[in-house]
Amino acid sequence: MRRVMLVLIGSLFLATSTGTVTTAFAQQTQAEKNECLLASKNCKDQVDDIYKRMQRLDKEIKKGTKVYTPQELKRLQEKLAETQQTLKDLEKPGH
Amino acid sequence: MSFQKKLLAFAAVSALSAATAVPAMALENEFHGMFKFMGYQTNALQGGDAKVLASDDARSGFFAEQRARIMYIAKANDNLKLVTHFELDTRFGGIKVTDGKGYKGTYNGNDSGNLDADALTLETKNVYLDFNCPITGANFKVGSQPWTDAYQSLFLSADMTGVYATKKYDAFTGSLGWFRFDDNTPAIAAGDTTNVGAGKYTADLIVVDGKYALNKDITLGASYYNIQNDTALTSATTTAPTVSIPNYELLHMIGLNADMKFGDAVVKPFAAYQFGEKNSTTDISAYAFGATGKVKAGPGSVNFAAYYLSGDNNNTGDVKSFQTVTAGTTYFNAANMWLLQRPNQAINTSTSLVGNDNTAKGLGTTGVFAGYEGTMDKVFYNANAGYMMTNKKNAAGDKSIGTEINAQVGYKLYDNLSASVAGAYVFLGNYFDATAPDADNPYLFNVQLSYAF
Repeated sequence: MRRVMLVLIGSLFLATSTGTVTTAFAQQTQAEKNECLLASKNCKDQVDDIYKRMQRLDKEIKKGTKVYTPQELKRLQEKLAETQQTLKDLEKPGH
Repeated sequence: MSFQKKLLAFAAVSALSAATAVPAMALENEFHGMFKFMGYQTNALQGGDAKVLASDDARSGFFAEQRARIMYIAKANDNLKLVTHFELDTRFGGIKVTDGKGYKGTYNGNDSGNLDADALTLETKNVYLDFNCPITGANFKVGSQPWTDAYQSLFLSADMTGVYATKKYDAFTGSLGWFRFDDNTPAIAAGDTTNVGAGKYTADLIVVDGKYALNKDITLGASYYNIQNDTALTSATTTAPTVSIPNYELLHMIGLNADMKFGDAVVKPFAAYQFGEKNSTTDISAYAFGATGKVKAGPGSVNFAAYYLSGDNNNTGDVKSFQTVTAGTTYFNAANMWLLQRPNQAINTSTSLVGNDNTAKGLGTTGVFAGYEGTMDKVFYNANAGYMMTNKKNAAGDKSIGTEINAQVGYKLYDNLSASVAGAYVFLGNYFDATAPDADNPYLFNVQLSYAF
């Protein structure tokens, strides 16, 4: 019973850690140049800046009903308005 | 089962729980922010909130300042997030400890521009929870949050602690809000049995706002704002704060506004009426109206904006002056001015010829502004002109505040970074004749770097 438990726990940890390693290798192999370190590009945890986010949302909205349902389009439009408001708050004059 | 087996079983269950709980705990981390550098060569700005100088032989000087804002949003899902927003302001070289012309973020030595930096400059702007209620379907914002009136910020635009609920019903969007922007409860002195706890001497703002989208081009709005200010009641005591903000006890403000698109033109008219009680003997009856607009023309667009705030120049009967909360929490950004109105690009130094007080100490003002803005590839530019006057004569019988002309040209170095230069000049009106008869016309040159992410 103890062995079974130990194997089970060991497998769980192995599974999670292997998963992480596999993902990392899939995104950045040793054979490729590490653009993240070299030029701050294509980093694994890279996120959109506020302008890029607005551009991407706008691009998706323009795909229209061919790709999205009216409800999804409405949601994307709300997210764009939300992001525009965030930029407005950031650049608000005064104290 | 032995103790060891129980422990192993517990460990296995814990590991499984942790593994399955990870996806549910996942957060979307959003980081945003901005940085601005501003350099000014000017004979008029004093730095901070101190109003634009109108004085004889005003000396010209160069100063520089910077601002960073950092926003972190912890998003659990589309229906729940925590928004935090911070600000760091600095004048190059720092602000003298005793200089009263700084403001809360930078004075009293709290300025990292001083030699060897290391000052406490982090200001909290917003910390609030933003969530959609699964029961009511309404969106709630709870905490310290930004709020702006529907009247181009002529009444109030500020970060305040409160609760704001918004619910959409097809084309109608209704909002209900409560903000407590002052809780001046005096410290409880030893042996003092008259004082009470927090929440007794307060100033509150109640907001009821409705917007109805008539069609995709026209949205009509109506609002009711109510300010109940009990802090004035404490001003007679020795332990209480003596400054009452705002300077009235009760205010009701009702108004209408619209956002209308006609082809290439967008027009936003507004009008509001205020009534209430200045104190137990004097009532308030005031109003404001105006409009802003933008029309596409050639490679850019023509902007225009105008407003009127009612005024009063006698101290008898009802007060007819338009009321705000404080001058420092009002704006008219659509003016696109640098000196007549506080600039909409301003950072630490954010002031105007009337010290941001568009009521001109109760006289009321009228402002008329127009300009042109456009872009050519990575270049952007604008030029503007504006005129302001008081609506009631000052003690010397004068009304004209001045006429400003300004222009700005900039270049987008990257998607997120732009550099620009601007110049502004004001031909002073006779409003200043009595206090500064030989005042030099104020001017400024501005150089700016602006980054947002």
